[in-house]
Amino acid sequence: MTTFRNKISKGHIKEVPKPKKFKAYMKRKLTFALLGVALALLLLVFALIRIRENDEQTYARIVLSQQSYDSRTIAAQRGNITDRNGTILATNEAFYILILDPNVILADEDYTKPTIDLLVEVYDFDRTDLENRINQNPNSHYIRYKTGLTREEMDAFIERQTEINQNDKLDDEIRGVWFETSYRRVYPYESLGCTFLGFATANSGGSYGLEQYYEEELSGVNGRVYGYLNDDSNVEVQTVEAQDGYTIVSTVDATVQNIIETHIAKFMKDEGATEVAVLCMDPRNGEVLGMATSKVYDPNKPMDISAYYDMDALEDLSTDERYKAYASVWGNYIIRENIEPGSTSKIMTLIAGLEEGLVDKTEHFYCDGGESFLGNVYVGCHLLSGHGVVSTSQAIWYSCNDAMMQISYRLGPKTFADYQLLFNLGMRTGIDLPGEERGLTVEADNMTTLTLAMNAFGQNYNCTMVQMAAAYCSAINGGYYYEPHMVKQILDPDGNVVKSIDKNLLRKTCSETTSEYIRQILFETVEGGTATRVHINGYAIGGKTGTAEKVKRDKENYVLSFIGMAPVDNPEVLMYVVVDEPHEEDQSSSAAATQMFRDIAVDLFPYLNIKGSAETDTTPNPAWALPEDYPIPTPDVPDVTVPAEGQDPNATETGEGAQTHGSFNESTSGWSMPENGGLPPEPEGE
Amino acid sequence: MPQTRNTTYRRPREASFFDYSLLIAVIALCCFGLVMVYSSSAYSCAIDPKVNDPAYYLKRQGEFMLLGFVAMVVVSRIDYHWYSKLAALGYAAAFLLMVLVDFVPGFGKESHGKKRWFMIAGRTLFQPSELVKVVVILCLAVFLYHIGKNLDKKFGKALVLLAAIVVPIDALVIINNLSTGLIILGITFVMVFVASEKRMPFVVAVTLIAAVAFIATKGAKQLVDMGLLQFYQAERILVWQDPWAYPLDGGFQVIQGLYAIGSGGLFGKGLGNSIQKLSFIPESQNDMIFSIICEELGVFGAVSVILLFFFLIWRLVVIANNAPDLLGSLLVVGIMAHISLQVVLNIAVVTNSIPNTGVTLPFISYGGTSILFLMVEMGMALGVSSQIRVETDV
Repeated sequence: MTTFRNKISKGHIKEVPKPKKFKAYMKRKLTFALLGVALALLLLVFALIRIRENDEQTYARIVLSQQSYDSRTIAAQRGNITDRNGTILATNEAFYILILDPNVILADEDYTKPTIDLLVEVYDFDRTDLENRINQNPNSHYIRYKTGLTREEMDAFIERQTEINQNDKLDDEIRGVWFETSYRRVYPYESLGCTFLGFATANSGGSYGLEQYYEEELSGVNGRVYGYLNDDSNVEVQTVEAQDGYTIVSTVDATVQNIIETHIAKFMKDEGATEVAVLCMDPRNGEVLGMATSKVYDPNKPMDISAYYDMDALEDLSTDERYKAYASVWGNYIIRENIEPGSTSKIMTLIAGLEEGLVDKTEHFYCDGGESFLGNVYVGCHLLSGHGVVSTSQAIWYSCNDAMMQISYRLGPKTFADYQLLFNLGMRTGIDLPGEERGLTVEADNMTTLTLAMNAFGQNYNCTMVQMAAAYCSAINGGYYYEPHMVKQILDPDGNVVKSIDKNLLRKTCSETTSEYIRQILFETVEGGTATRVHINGYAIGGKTGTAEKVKRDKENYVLSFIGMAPVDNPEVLMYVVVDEPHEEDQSSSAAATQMFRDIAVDLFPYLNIKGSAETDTTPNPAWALPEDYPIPTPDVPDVTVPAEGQDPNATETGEGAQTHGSFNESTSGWSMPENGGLPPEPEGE
Repeated sequence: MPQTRNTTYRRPREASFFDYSLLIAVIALCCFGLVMVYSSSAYSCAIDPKVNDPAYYLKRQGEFMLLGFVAMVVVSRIDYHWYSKLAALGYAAAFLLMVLVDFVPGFGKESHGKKRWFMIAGRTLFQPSELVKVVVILCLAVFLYHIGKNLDKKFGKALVLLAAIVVPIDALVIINNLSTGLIILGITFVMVFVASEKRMPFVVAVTLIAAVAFIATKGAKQLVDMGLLQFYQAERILVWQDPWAYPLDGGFQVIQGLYAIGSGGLFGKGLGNSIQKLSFIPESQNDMIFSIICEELGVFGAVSVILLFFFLIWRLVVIANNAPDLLGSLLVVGIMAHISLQVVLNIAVVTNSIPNTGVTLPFISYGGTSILFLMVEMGMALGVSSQIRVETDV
């Protein structure tokens, strides 16, 4: 026990007064005070227990329910689409959505008026409308009031908001307004490549073209913020970041595409046709270098098809008819239109004959101008007087129907149909675009002699342009049928290669020797046959014309085509031009497709570095380089104001696409005249 | 005025006493406070882009605690008779600081609409109102010591003198911080109550105060209309009576605090698992920290903390009872009154037993100035305890 003992000698007491002590009554009072404190604390403990006992369950529920973590979506950014050289054909632009939180705005008079004032001041909103929206939804936390704001427009508000909120002299506070980030699809070159790009919107994703076919890769995975109660009834908040979409690197070269589209546009302006389509491929691997039709629209504004339809009239149509109208513009003629190929398909009949050993390169056919079937049907050659005696090569040079019909008899329906299948006619090529048609071929069992004979020169069956082009590629590249494809690579948002799409060999269609022979006769057709118009000094071009009478068979409407390649000894490029119903008096004698092939080739071959001979100027025309100042938007990532427990909008930077254009590989072999060279002799008969 | 005499006695060597129990209680409360400050502030610090450091408040509180600990040790080594001679000087200094903060532009720093911080050349230093508490305790102890028996013999005159000391400086405090002003009045009341032999005046005073409080609570609205109370003061009373009627004004903090206590249950959600600190209780590391203790550690943890405080208060009572002289006793009584009042008022606010006033929980709530001067007070109490002489039986 501790006691206080003041030991002061008696002598000191008189000199020094005895120090005042803490007296007994003071101790009592202090003890009383201590008891008071104890009592107060005891009462408070009871208060605590009372709160717990009365309301523990209720309060526990309230605490959990206050954690209103509705799951929210974090928008992923759609991947870009670039051409083979990295030129951006499709990308995104950030924009902002103004969100109102009336519950917060109305919570305090110091918020309500200043906030509405500022919104009206910055965005010039209609005050009455704004006030109505807020007052009519007093408990709402989320009203999308205005969308499509630019970064600058958003910053203008945030700047003023910070200014006012940091001004301590004012009671005014700007509250209950925040912004969400969203992305808009942008096609910087507008209509360039619309044929194969398709378009994408925020709501429905990709439609048509690569946008639709590669939807899964491009769209990325939206992120999410969500909360759940774990075993201990604690709220766990999980944020799953958005994964941005992959970038698609197309095999298409934007410059090739530009050249083709410009020529189509020029033709449509000068001459006109129901439809013009051009497909440009690399026969060595099946890559599509350019794909364009005369149906041009701006994927930035896909709903605007006023170039083809009266938009007001379109409104009055039924949904079905309206859809058809849009589909006719958005659809891709090259993969979805079944056309009769006409004479271009003759080489396949010839290949079948050669491969089966039923036709010899050195033999001759007699063309008397046509064939009779069952006595009453007469199928004429295009030269009704007949070509007379033609060699195997000449049958192609002059595009002799009669010779083809004679070959078809030797093949018979079974073999002929087999070769059609070998060349993938009647089956989808598998090109990576949506909506591909398979064509219409006649099965061997149903094939009459007449059908067989007409099929032999490309009538009475249908195929798509991409089928014909892919088949041709195999016929001239040594017999390798590669799956045609539009995409080279898939890159992740950091630019790493996720997937590389190489050439995909489906089958062998003919032997190297036959292929070489086909190249030879196609070259001769250009040099001295039906396609002399295509000849370009210095380039060894091979090709075949086609003129298919359209189904009415009234000798009025034709599908004109030309399919050609260069250089002949090792083709690096194949181009297929189709002019459907040119606006001309006499379509059958039109050279529209042939002429267009030549016009395009004059600009295209120098750009592609196709081997030419010394006498030609093969310098690429600088006019075809894409302008450098195309506006490529760079989606920037802003600091967006979000509610207190919100998350930062998912953010990634998209690098600018390279604007340079690569060149094709040099051909490995030098230029040499074909062995059987020399110009073909003049046709013998009339 | 008579001089304090203190050094003339020669005492024989005896076993000296040092109240280690008090020291350990203080250290325990400080460490527990650090843990709770970290727990309650880490989330809001981490998500605040301006701070971006979960341990921001922990570090600052830790720095002040170290500083306070040094101050405590230094003060405990100083004889309290020595610094009690400086009481008048301290009073003058505190008075000057309060005047500067209250009235001279450039010295007072505004925070939450109140100028409570003293600053020089733009640098925030401390809250002078915390200093006033210490100075008032010191001055009253010295005053009561000197008038001694005259307190009861000339009670009226003594009260006038007492008012002359306390009222001017307390008025300056009340202007900028009502609750601190009330606590100073409470300390004064307890010290005079203990020093005086009378009982009736205190019973009458308590009855009067209770009556005024009762009327105020019943007729707060009318009082506001009559202009006797400022609206924000009456608002607190109204909110206290029915916090759910004012969920977006003053009621928010109280309601969220009650939710925290209620949802904690008997043993709480576990340290660090409070949900309410995730932005529902604003600045939960300050006045409302006790509600986070209740939520995370339950009633069990809350009662443990209360018991620890009671232990500390009891040790102060023991020191006061055994102090070498009346001066030391009164000093410790003042300190004990200070801590008791703050603990009781803070917990009462959190449980909504009284209207909301901004009272911090000693040693636990975040606040540099508060912790610093509390440690100084503990140093004083330990200094008094070290002068207790113990008779050894050997």
